[in-house]
Amino acid sequence: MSSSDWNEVKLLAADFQRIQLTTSSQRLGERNCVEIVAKLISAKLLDVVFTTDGKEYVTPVHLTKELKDEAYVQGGRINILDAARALKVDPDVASNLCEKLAKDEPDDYCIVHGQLIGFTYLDQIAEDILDKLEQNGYINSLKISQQFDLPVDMIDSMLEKRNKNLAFNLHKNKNNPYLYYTDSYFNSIKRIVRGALLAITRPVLCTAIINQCSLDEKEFFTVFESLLAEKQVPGILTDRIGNACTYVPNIHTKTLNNWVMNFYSNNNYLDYEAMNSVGITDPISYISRMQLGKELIALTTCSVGPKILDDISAAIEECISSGTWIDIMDFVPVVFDTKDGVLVLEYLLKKNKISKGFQIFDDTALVTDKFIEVQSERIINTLDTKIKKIIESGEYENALINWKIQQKLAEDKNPELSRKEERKKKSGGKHGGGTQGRETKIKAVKKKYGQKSKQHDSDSDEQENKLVASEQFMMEIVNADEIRKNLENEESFKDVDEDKNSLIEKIVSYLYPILNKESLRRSQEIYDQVMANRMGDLRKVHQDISCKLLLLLSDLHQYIKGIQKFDNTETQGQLTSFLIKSIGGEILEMVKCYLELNKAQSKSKSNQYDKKVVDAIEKLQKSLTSKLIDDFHVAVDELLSSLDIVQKKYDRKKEREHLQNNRQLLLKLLSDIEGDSAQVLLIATQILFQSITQTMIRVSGKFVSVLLGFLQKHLSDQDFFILQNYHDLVVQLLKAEDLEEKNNIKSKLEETTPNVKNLVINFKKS
Amino acid sequence: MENTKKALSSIPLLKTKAGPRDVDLWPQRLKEEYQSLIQYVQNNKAADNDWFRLESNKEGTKWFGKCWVFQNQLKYEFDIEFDIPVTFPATAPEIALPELDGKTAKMYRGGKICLSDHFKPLWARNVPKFGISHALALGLGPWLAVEIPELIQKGVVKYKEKEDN
Repeated sequence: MSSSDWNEVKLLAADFQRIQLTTSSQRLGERNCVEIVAKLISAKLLDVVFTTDGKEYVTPVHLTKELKDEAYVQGGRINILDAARALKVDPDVASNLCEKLAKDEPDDYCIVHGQLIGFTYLDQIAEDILDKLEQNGYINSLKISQQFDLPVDMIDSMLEKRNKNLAFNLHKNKNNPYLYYTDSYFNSIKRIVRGALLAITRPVLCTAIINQCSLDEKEFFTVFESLLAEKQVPGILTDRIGNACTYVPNIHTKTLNNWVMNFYSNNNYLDYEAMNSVGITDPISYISRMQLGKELIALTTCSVGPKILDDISAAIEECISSGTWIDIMDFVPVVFDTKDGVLVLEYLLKKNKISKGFQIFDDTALVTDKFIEVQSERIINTLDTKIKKIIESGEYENALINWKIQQKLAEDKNPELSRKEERKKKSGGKHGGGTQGRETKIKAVKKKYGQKSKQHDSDSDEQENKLVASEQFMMEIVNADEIRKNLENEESFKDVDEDKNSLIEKIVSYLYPILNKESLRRSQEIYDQVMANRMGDLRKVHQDISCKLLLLLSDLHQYIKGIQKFDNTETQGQLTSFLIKSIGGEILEMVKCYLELNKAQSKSKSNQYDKKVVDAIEKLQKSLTSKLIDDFHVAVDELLSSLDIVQKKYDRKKEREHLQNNRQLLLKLLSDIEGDSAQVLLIATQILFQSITQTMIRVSGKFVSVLLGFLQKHLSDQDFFILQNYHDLVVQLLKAEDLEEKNNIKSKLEETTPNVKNLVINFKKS
Repeated sequence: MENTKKALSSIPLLKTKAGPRDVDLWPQRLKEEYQSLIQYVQNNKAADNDWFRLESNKEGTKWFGKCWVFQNQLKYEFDIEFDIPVTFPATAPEIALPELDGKTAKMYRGGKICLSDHFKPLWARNVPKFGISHALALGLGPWLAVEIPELIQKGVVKYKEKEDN
C-alpha cells in the first residue's frame, strides 16, 4: 500500500513537472490587448479611435459615417460636443473628425460655431428666409442670424448666392447692411416718406416723422438719401447727431428768412427773443449766416443795424459838441437791455475815437465833462454865501483845527504805520478807533476788491460812501441832497422820468467829492484872505504900539539924561519919580488899549499869552510906585517881551532927529497956546532947557521954579528977568483969589507972553 | 483580492491530515498535495497567469523552485525554497526567497517571507484542508504582488537579463 502510494506520488510529481513545463496557453489578456493596440497606434501602424467607455476601437471611416448619420438624424446640423457624446468618442476626436469632414466635403458640410452643418440644411433655411422676404417685403439678416444661431455674413452670403435666381430684386439698406428689401417694399416706403416730407411745412424732428409713418429709423434715412439723390426732397436735414436731427423744409427756411428780413427792415435791429419765438434757436449764428449779418453788431439780446447805430452816434456827437448829457437807453429800441446799451456805447466811442471829455454814469449815460463843469460851477457859485457864513461863524476854523489835530494824532500814534492808517481811514474805518478794529478790517478787505468803483459804486453801501467822503474831507460843505436839488433844477433833467433818478444819484455821488474838495479849496482861500486881513490889522496895531512904546522909552531915556543935568539929587529923585509915573501911566494905557483891540479881533489867542501880559502889567504898575528907575526898566522889559516888541539900540543920529522933533513939537505947542500962561511958562522952560543942555526934560508945573533955577546960570539977566517975572505972575495968578486981581494979573501975563514966546523962539545958546 | 479568491476556490481542498512523520498517511497527503498543485498550475496556465515552478525531494519534505513577477514588461525571477514542518499541516510551511534576504523588512532571517496577519488564522481555520498550493496562492502570491514593485522602485531589486523559456 505504502509503496504503491509512493509510486503514485512519484507519478504525480512527474505529472506536476510535466504540467509545469507545458507552455501556458498563449491567450491574450485584455490588458495585453490594450497594450498591444496602444503600441500599434503609437507606432502609427494602426489608425483607430477609442470609444469613451474604453471598450471599443472604432476606425475613422466608420466614425465619419456614423457622424454623417447622426447629423442627418439631428436635422442637418449637430453640435460637435453632442456628436462626440452620441458617437462615444473624445470631443477632440470628434472635433478633428468634423473638421476633416468639412475639409474633405466642402460642398456638403461646414463647421460654424462649433457645429457641423450640412448644406442641405442651409438650403432649407434659405428657402425659409426667401419665403419670408417675399411675404414681408423686408428681412433683417441680424434677426435671422439670432433666430438660427448662425453668423450674419453666412446668411448674407447665402442670400447673395441666391439673389440671382429670385423673381424679385433684393435691396440692401445702405445704413443698415443687415436689412434686405424687395423692390416693391422699398418703393412703398419711399412713397410714404416722400408724402410725409412734402406735407411738412415747419421743422420736424426726424423721430417724429419716423414715428408718424411707423417706419424703421434706418429705413427712413436710407429712403431719405435715395430721395435726396433723386432731388425729391423739398428741404434739408440738420446735422445728424445720433438720430436727433431735424428736417427743415425749404418753405420754412424761406418764410423764416422773409420774416427776419421784414423784421430787420422795419426795426433796423433783430431781437433774439423774437427770433427764438419763431423757432430760430441760435439767433446769433443765424444772423451771421445771413447776407446782412456783416453789417449787424451782435449784442446780448439783439443784433443792431447800422442805422440805429448812426442815429445814436449822431446823438452822442451832438451831445458832446453841445456839452450836455445823453442816456443811450433813450435812443435804442425798447428791447435793448443795459448790457446792450453798454456794448453799443463802447462800440460807438471806440469807432468814433472819442475817449476824453466825458464821464459814463449808470453804465449807459454819457455826461460830458463840460456839462459837469457847468453844473459844478453853478453849484459852487450858489455855495459862496454858505461858505462865507461857515467861515464867519468860525465853524470852518474849528473843523480845520480838529482836522489838523486828528491828523497829528494819527501820525503821533503810529508814525511808521501812518500810511496804513491813512488807507484805513479812507476805507471808512473810524479815526483812532482801536476798539473798532474789526470793522476797519472788513472795510479794508472790501476796498481791496472794489477799489475801482469807489465813486460809481451803486450798491447798498452808498450811504457808507458818503460817510467815507465826509471823513476824507475836513468837513462837509455841500451835502448830497443839495447837489441833487441843484441838479434836479437843471433844465435837461426836468423833463426826464423817474428812472433817471439813479443817474442823478450817480452824478451826485460823482460830484460830491469834487464839489466838496472845490468848495473846501474856496473856503480855504476865503478863510486865508480873511485871516490875512485880520492878521494885517493886528500887525499894524502891534507895530503902532511898539513904535509908540519905543518912542516913549527913548523919550524916557532922554528925559533921564536931562534929569541928570541937575546937580541936586533930591531934585533928580523928584523929577525921576514924576517921569516914571507919567511915562509908565502912558505905557499902561497904551498896552491896555492894545490888548482890548487884540481881544476883539482874535479869539484864538491863548489865555496863557494873555496871562503873561497881565502879569507884566501888574508888575509895571507896582514898579511905578517905587522911585527906582531900574525896577521900572525891568518891568518895562518884561512887558515888552510879553508883547513881542523888540527893543532897539539907541541911534545917535536918530536921537538928534528926535530932539529936533521934540523941539519942533514943543515950539508948535507953545505957539498954539493962547491964554494958559502956566502952560506957556512950562513949555518955554522945557524948550530952553533943551536948547541949553541938548537934552529933553519932562516936568510938571511944580518943577518950573527948579527949572528956572537951573536956567538962571545959562540965561542973560534980561532974559532970566523976563522969565522970572512971568513965573512970579503965574504964581500970583494961581494964588490970587480976587477975580479983579486975577484979571489984572492975566492981562499982565498976556502982555508978557509974546515976549516969553519970542524969547524962547529966538533963544540961541550963547 | 477577487482574483485571489477566485483562484483559491478553484484549488481543490485536501482531506488527509498527516505530516512527514506519519509514515502511513504521509504519501496519501503528498498525493493530495500534488493533485492540488497540478490543478492549481493548470488553472494558472489556463488563465495565462503562470508564475512559479516547483519541485520537491523524493520524500516531499523539501521543496524548491522559482517564481517570477512581470513589471513593466520585464520578468523578475527569484528562487523559492521551503521545508515541510514536522507539525504540518497544523503549521503552514515557511516559504523563503533567499535572494532577497536582508533587502526588505517584510522578511525573517533566511529570507522567509512575513506573511500577512490574515494568513495564519486562515490557515489554522482550514487545517487540514489547505496545502502547499494554498500557501503559495494566499501567502507568496500576494506578498510578491505587494513587495516586488516596491523593491524594484527602490532599486533594491534590479532586472537581470536572463535566459527565459
